[in-house]
Amino acid sequence: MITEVGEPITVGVVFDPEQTLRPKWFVWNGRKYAIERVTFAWKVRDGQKLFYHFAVTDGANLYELTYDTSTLSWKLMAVSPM
Amino acid sequence: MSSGSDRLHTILHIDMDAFFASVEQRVNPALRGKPIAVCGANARTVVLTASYEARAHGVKTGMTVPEARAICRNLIVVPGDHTRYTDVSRRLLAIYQDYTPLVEVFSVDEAFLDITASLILFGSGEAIAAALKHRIRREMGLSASVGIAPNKILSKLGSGLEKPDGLVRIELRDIPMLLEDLPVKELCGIGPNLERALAEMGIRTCGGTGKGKHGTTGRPLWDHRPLSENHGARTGRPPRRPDRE
Repeated sequence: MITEVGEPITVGVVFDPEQTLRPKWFVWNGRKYAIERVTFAWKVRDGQKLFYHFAVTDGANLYELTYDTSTLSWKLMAVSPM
Repeated sequence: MSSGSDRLHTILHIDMDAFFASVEQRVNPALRGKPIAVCGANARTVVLTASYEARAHGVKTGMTVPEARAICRNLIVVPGDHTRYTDVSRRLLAIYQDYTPLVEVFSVDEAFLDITASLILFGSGEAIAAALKHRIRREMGLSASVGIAPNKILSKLGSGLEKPDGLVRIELRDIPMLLEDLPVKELCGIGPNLERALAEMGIRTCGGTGKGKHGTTGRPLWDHRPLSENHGARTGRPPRRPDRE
């Protein structure tokens, strides 16, 4: 069951020469989530804007994070149990 | 590559295996090895793609969700996300273009590659196809089936013969044996209407000669354009460089 969220979050990211952007943790509603693995990443263009999407897991749930390159901001888009 | 050339081409048809479902199984590891059906977002949706695990139960594209659930109790329905598939398709195109500029994107998960001029650089058609499959699996975690043939119709037929993760080469000399008993509907471009028209002529397989308005054709279907040796290379033109943005 996918829960749509769409809320701004704080994300800790490693800029990796091999993988460009690798989110390592994020804070949502005051709680810090450690990212165990990025399972999938993809890019979406919306007009002039470019968004990076990441499907990540903390081992228990799957989260979709989105990075808006025009505003340099992150959002948690959706959560689903694994 | 001149479209008027009579030289035989080497054409690859790459067809991603259970594309939408495979992408979703990459996104969510918990779905791997499970019967899933990728569907649209609205309530009255149909199955867009089923994973091979779901296909083993008979789940097919176009089924309604209730129909699919009725034959596969453990089916997991996943809403499709076309932004993912579009981005993967774009990345696949970049891989293809490392081997030839002559790529024709046929659909989001299929492409024709004219690798005739690439053989001297990368080796045989089989070597190029194997390299492409390996890169797709390594870089994207996805599998593809590839058909190799002198023209697009045969290469597309080949890619569908040993799915998933297939690699099939069809030579011109294979045509009679391969196509003799093949139902005409298996050929790309022959839809229900044409299939019906051919059936009225008595042609149900590619080896059937039938009887047309102008009398018996006398030649099996596979001996007609666009499958025959003389015209195969010009069938619908060989793959072309996609339009630049």
